[in-house]
Amino acid sequence: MKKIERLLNLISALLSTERPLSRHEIRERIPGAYSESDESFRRTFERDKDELRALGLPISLEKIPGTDPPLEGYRIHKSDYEADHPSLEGDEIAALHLASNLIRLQGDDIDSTFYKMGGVLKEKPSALSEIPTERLMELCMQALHEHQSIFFKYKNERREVNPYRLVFSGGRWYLIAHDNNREGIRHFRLDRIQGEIELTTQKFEPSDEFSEISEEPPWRFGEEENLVELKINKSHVSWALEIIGQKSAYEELSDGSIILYEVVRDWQIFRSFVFSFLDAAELLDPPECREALIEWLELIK
Amino acid sequence: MREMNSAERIKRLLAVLPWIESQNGPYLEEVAARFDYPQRELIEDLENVVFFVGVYPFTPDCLIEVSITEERVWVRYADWFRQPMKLSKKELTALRAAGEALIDFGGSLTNEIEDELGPLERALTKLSVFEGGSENLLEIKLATPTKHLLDVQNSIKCKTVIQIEYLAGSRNEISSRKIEPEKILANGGKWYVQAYCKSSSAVKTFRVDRIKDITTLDEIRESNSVEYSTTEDFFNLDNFPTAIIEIPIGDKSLIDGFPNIEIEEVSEEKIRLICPVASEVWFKYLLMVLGSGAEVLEMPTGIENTFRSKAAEEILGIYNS
Repeated sequence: MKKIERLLNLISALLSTERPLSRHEIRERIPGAYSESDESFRRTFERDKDELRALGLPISLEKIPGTDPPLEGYRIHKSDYEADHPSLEGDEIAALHLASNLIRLQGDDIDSTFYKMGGVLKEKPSALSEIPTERLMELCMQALHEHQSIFFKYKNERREVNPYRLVFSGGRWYLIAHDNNREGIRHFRLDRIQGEIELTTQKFEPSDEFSEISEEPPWRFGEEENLVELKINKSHVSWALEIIGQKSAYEELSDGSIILYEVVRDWQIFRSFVFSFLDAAELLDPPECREALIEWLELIK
Repeated sequence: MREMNSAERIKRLLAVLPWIESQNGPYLEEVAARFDYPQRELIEDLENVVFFVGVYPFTPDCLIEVSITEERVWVRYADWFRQPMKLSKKELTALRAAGEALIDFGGSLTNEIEDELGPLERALTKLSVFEGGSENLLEIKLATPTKHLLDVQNSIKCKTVIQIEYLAGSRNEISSRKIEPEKILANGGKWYVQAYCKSSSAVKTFRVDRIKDITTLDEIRESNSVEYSTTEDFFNLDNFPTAIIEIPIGDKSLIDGFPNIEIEEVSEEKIRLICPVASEVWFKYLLMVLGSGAEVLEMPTGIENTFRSKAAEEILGIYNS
């Protein structure tokens, strides 16, 4: 029997059964699919099972009723398997298809999502934006969906947080979460999480009430907040405004220069931004930031 | 096209079978197009695989029936394959995120895309209601369109030639170019425009936030619409002198905003940066960002060793005055 035929028969058996089937029952129910040798059957069956699970088939392992000593068997519950999404009109599916192709999450198998919805006849448009993905996203998504608290190391400290949302902004991924030790909402840069994320078994009540990530200047994400005043010379004003534009408050001075008022939560990133103006910008306030900047330059000198 | 492997076939067949069953004898050609299933392989799989699929005891009433006549196809008795597989939470989240990002995109869109926004809103409402009306767990914010981006999009729509004042690559010098914008792209939180550059007779990619001024010209375009590769290098930096700098590994995030720097790991504490230096201004900026933890091993040709401390002094000048 061809492999693909064997796999389809296996899915059929698991979906149509009313009770979990043991491995040996499965072999009996699909004659000719598996080897008579127990060892080679076990290996092939395990591989098949892994392959189907990787395709998203919800194969569950359960106790077979009435067995003593208890035996375990496999089945696919129709309720876990069968599509239950709301019925979408053809034009609605086509519009989702367009959006998913214009704004592509790297590595996502979009096609397979749309096959489940009956496929799409239109050509794929080329992407408007390719959104990169991060190594920890998968685990974060799992914790988000299951409302599980997680642990990770950030700025060399162990954090325990309730994850609320993943946000891609300004070319980076952020995790918005409730920090359980600091008792407040924090924005974490995913690429700065050190090492791995540990899922806990602790569940939390999801909440929609958290501060939004408003706009993209990357220095706005972080922990300690400073309101910074930066004076930018006339020669660089149009450039500065094109970068930060409507996102910040600023005041125009009579000589054509501006004073920019910016909320800064990531000092390191903002400092780099200030240096992009070289000597055409001066950090006015707060004094501790001004001092830090001067010290940084003194050390270089 | 290469042959599909068994996983690719299964994935498709689990969706193809319920779809065919839900239709009244669809044309094979349409099935093939909807599910990216080469028609020859589709027929082969339906006739020689699916036809033998069933459940115990595999008597005729327990087998799927496939009939193909005159280019149309029917599937019957596949009770357990009557529904496609459920959309996973991950898939629903990704769909909503992409849809919401497109709706939130404040820039101008081509007419074809704009026409899709109505159905898109309807679809998103349905999906949101389905998920209990909760906010989506994933949010994608495309870089906010600036006035210049809107001007560029306008030029794409109206097929105009524009003149831009552009802060070139890493040169920190402004030059004036005539371009014919073809396509915009967001990458790493920045908007780019791919355009035919009349000034250099080549297709180039420009960063929109480096455009300082745009004037629409009364000229006719030279270029025909071409498909541009999105992966080509944005700037050709091969011909510039290089600097070699070592920084502590903990400072690596300082070079986040400098995509053209090559990184080598030299030890557990240090990384080495190979930096193409296109201008002194840019190099000053880089050195200030890296700070005193950086050690310049090799200056680019023509730049003196005192360059870094002089640059720091220049900036300190405004703080001490």
